[in-house]
Amino acid sequence: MLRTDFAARAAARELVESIGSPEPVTQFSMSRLFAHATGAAGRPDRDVEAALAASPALRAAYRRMVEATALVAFPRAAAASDQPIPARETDTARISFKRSRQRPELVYAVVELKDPQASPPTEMVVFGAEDVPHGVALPAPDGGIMQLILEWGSDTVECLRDPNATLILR
Amino acid sequence: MDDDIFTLNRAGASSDLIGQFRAVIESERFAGTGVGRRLAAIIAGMGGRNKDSAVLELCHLVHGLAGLGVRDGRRRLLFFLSQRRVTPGAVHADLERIAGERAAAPANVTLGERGLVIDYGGERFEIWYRRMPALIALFEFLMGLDGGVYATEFVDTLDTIPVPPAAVGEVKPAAGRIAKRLRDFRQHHIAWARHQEHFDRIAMYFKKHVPGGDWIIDDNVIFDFWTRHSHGVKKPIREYETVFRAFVDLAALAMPPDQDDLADWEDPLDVLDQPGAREIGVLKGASERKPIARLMEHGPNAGRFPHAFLRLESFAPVQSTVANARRFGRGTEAIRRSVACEDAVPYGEAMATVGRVREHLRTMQKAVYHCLYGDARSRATPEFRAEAAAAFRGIRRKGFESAEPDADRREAFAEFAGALTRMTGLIDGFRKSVERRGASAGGLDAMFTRDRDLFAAQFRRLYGEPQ
Repeated sequence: MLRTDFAARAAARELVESIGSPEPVTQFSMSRLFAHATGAAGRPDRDVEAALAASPALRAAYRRMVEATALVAFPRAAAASDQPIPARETDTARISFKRSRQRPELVYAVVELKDPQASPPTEMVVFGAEDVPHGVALPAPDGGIMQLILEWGSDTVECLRDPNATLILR
Repeated sequence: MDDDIFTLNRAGASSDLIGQFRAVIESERFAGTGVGRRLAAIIAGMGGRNKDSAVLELCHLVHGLAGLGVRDGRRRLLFFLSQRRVTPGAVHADLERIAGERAAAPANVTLGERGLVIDYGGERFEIWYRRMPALIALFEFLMGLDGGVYATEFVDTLDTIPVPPAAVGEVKPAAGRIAKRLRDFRQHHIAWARHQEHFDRIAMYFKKHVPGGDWIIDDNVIFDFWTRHSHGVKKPIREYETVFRAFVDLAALAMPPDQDDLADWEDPLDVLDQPGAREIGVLKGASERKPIARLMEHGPNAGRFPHAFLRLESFAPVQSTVANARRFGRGTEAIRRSVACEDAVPYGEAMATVGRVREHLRTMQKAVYHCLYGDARSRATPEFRAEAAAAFRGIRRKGFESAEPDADRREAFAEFAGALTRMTGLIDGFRKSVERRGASAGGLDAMFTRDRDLFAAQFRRLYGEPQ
């Protein structure tokens, strides 16, 4: 016990002595990731984005942060939907998709906010395989309705076709 | 050859561990707050059988937050990850704000003067505000464990902590799971064998060189170990300071002080580095802070080994000078002077400087007292109040412009008051220990003269005579 405790003190001291070392800090903190996830950082953080691209574990954590701070977190879509992209709904919002007949390379996404007075979301984020995030800016609502155009075959639309993909508005 | 030098406190932790620790502690949220020392102790598992008590405390905090309305993952992440500066005052203010958003908090969770209090059906648990920054840092560290691999599981585990009212035992399963994960991390990322090897070396010393093999640590044992192990052995431990630290660690474990407040010593100078405190000129760096920095770091252990500590204060800087001069190829005259210890500060002079700083700290104590309690509510005698007022008037330093400070400054002064008391108390205790040691050894001057010869002889063995 004494031997282990002695080693623990030495290990703790080593950590304390590492503070302020001239070697650069190569990792980043979860609060920095959280600031990025919530938009509090205010500007793109290239280090965070590069780390997210490289680490599935970090993306999973990031998805939890984005979900936790979302204005709207849609549940999984009904698997039996006959739509190419299934609609989703919560108590506060509904999102549906329709492929254009005239221009089949386009998809219309319609977000309906059930409380038009509520603070509107500004971004839709869908997480694809291995939690890769795809974000799309939302237009300002008109009477609680936001409409945007997506490209059929794009990564975002491919993710949206998966009823299990995580979809949030923030 | 330097690769073979056996350094007691180096190369023990993985780069992942150090990287994540630094990422948390050097962020804007914690930089300069002193939380790093506490988080390091938690991560390394200091505290013997209670090494995981901080994890349990964190889970109690999550439970208490649920009682204040922070029940979902979103609000929990906001509380733990979004504060820009994590200080006891900021956390307290955040908790008051959260509590204020609820019409009525459950009766079993309350915000007291010192911390958040949870009543588990008669069993009371209190988490002090001053502990919370370390718990918030622990939350962030745990979430970032192994590059975020553990984050999802960690968040899910916290979700299993019940909302009040609950029995105290209901918080423990989550704490147990998190503590196990931290233990596994510790096991993989800390080079235990290396640190334990260091311990074994000291154990062997006691067996071979101390009559009866008794583990009695004193000033002479520390010096004797250094002289035997700094030269002429495989993997020498050259630095006296390294040896001193190792024995202080061992003494803290094997011969813990009787009083709890000594066992839980935290460097009071950390308080001066807190945000809001740095703008107040309590100590000038070179002339007032530096002479007591080591003493404050080692705390009561300095008084337990007064002679060893005096040696540290006077000769460790000399040894650093020699090592650096050799490393950077400085002139032989500088090396010669250092090896001969010609510039070592005599013990009497070092103690006189400490005494002057002590008087300055006492003046600061009175001035702070005047700012905090100088009005009619003070319970002090009129004489003391007059002294405190005079001390305040005599100070010409940043932060002491007004005897009626604003709320932020009052908070900083309140923190100072405790730190200043600990500092002066420590210095007083240390001076008494040194006086006793000096009296039994023919006085400080004689002690210094003998030690200068001993250190110079050992430095010549270590570094040779400069050509």
